[in-house]
Formats: sequence, structure tokens, C-alpha cells
Amino acid sequence: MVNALMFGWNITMTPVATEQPRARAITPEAQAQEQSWAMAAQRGDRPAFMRLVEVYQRPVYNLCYRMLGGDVTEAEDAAQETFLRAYTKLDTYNPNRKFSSWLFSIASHYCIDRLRQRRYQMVDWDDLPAPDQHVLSNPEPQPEAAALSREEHRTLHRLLNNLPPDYRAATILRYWHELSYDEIAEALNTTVSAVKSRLFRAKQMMAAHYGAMETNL
Amino acid sequence: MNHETFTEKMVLWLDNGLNAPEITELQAHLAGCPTCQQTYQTLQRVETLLRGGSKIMVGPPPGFTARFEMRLAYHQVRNGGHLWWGFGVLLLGALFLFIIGGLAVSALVSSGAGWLDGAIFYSGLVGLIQLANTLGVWLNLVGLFVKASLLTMSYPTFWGCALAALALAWLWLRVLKYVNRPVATSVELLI
Repeated sequence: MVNALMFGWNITMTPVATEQPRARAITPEAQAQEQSWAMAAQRGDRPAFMRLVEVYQRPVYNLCYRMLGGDVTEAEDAAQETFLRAYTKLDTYNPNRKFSSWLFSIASHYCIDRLRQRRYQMVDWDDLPAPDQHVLSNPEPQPEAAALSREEHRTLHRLLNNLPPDYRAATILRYWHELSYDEIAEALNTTVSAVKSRLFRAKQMMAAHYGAMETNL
Repeated sequence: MNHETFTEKMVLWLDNGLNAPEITELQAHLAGCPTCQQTYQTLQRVETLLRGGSKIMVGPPPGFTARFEMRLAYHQVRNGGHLWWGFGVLLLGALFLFIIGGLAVSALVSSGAGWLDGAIFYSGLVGLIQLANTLGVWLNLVGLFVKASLLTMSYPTFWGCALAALALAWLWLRVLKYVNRPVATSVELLI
């Protein structure tokens, strides 16, 4: 794996947290434009692919960031790897499918694989720095910190990180990316009923964990 | 109905997935069940956290596209390097084959070359074997090979071999490209 530090990235990089409308409403024109870029990229047009990178860097980064527990360096590396895989596998992209679903599919599965590998490292959450430390330690008011208090934000990350990777992916795609059940099923290569079940179980687990956290306080 | 069933309904309610009669039924149950009330409050709190947190899309630090272009270039150079090494090795092999082939063809079709008739060639070979330890002999041998190769260029066989070598080179490049393709993971297998 390519080390992020090889390209001058380091852990002091601060992600850009901004409040945006959650739903990325894609107009038919924008979707047609993306399809044409994707098809041009398939024919070897690299600038067309770079336009897609420009458009999707934020959603893909956000997905990786949430999936990987708020680790800035890992999120950057995973987002870059997602685009690299997309580029090298462009010939497998079906233009009849939404480009965003295909890209989210790559990102989700990559992060799930990464989390499964990480499971064997046995690192306790409490031993790690607080998620979004760079954002939250910034004296400037941050939109994310404004939307949720620091403690709430930390709690949300804890709850998410407590979920199995598959459940976490479904939850993030549902809440942060506002994907429909069908789209989540497509991205995670599963059925709609499995997605509904995962989301239900995820909320149940989060509620149980939240209840336990409150009891311990 | 047990608590689990009502928990499902609570999750659906929070997701706007219940109709009016179901909501009324759930509310009636909640009014008389402290356990479910507690569960509902916790689920509601989790829902609030998720909705509050999901208003924020975290983006990468500035310069993401430029960094990606660097990474892509690195990836292509790294993978392309293997191809060029393979091509170089193939080219050397092809050159060696041409020289050996040229020598063989020259020996067979030596009627037009007086200096390379069978007797001279045989005695030359014996002499080469006897003096193989000396550098001068090796240089002579190389010279002989080069001369033979140049001579061979006047025969159609040479150009046939050249075309065959080019075809093999192309085939080799295809094989190397296939071998050096990115390693398939569960991600790619599912796409």
C-alpha cells in the first residue's frame, strides 16, 4: 500500500467540515454530464476523470472519514485509493448505472475491508485520540461543532465506531448521503430487506450502547 | 406483542414509516410501558445525534485532486516500469536470437561467403573452444557474430524472424500487462 506520507500528507492536515444540504440533489442534466465524463474517462480521457474526482472528492472523503472513525490520514488515503481503484477499473463501470453508486460501492467495500483488517490490531478506542481532534481543537467556531456539541460529536463517533462495518456503511450512506434503500443495497451489493435489517439492527445497537454509556456516567 | 416488536415500530416511527393507526397503537403502548418509554427515548436521542451529525459533510484538505494526480502518476510509473523492464529483456533476448540465428543461417548458406565455408567455420570453432579463456577470442567471437548477423540481413529469413520477434514482443507486453493488473480484492470482485 502506498503510504500517505509519501505524498507529503501528514496528520496535521485538517479536513474541511462544512454544513451543506445533506441531499445532493442531482439534476438529470448533471447526471447526464457525469455519465458523459465517465464514458469519456473509459475511453482514456484523463481530464474527464479528474472532473469526476473534483465533483466526488467531498462525498467520498466524507464516507471514508465516517467509516474509518474520523482518522484524517486514513480517510485521505482511503479516498485516494477509492479513486485510484475506480480509475483502474473504469472498464467494469456500467454507464447505465449511477456513477455515484458505483463509486460509493468501491469506497464502502474498501473501508469495510480496511476495518476488518484493523479488527485484529485490538486497539481500544479510549487509547486513540478523540475523533475530529483537529477540527474540535480549532479555536475558530466549526460548523460541525456548532451543529453538535463536542461531547455529542464524540458520542456519535463512538456509537458509529461500535457498529460492525456493514452496519456502519449502511448507516452512513443512509444518513450522510441520503441514499435510498435501493441505492444502499446496490452500493453494498446486498438486498433491500438486508439493508433495512442492517439499519434497524444498527439503531438498536447504537441505542443499547448509548444507554450503557449513560448508565456509566 | 413483546418489547422487540415495539422497538421495530419505534424505529419505523422515527423514520416516518408508520401510518396513523400504527402510531396510535404504539402511543397507547408507550403510555403504559416504562421499558418501552425508556427505549423510545434512547432511540430518539440516537436519531437526533445522527440527524445532527449528518448535516455535516467533511471534505478533504485543499489540494486533494493534485495529490490524487500525483498518486495516479506514481501508480502508472510503478506499473509501467515493469512493462519496460520486460520489454528490455525481451529485446535483448530477441537480439541474441538474431545473432545466433544469423550464424546458423550463414553456416548453412555459406556459398556466397568464402570466409565462412564449412572447413574454416569448423576449424574456427575448434580454435574458439581451445582459446575460449582469452578475452581476445571472445571479442573475435562477438565480431564474428555481428558480421554473420549483418550478412544475414540480406536474407528474407532475417526479416521473417524480425517480424516474429515483434509479434512475440507485443504478445509479451500483453501478458505482462495482465500479470501486473491491480490485485483483485473483494471490492473489485463485487463490482
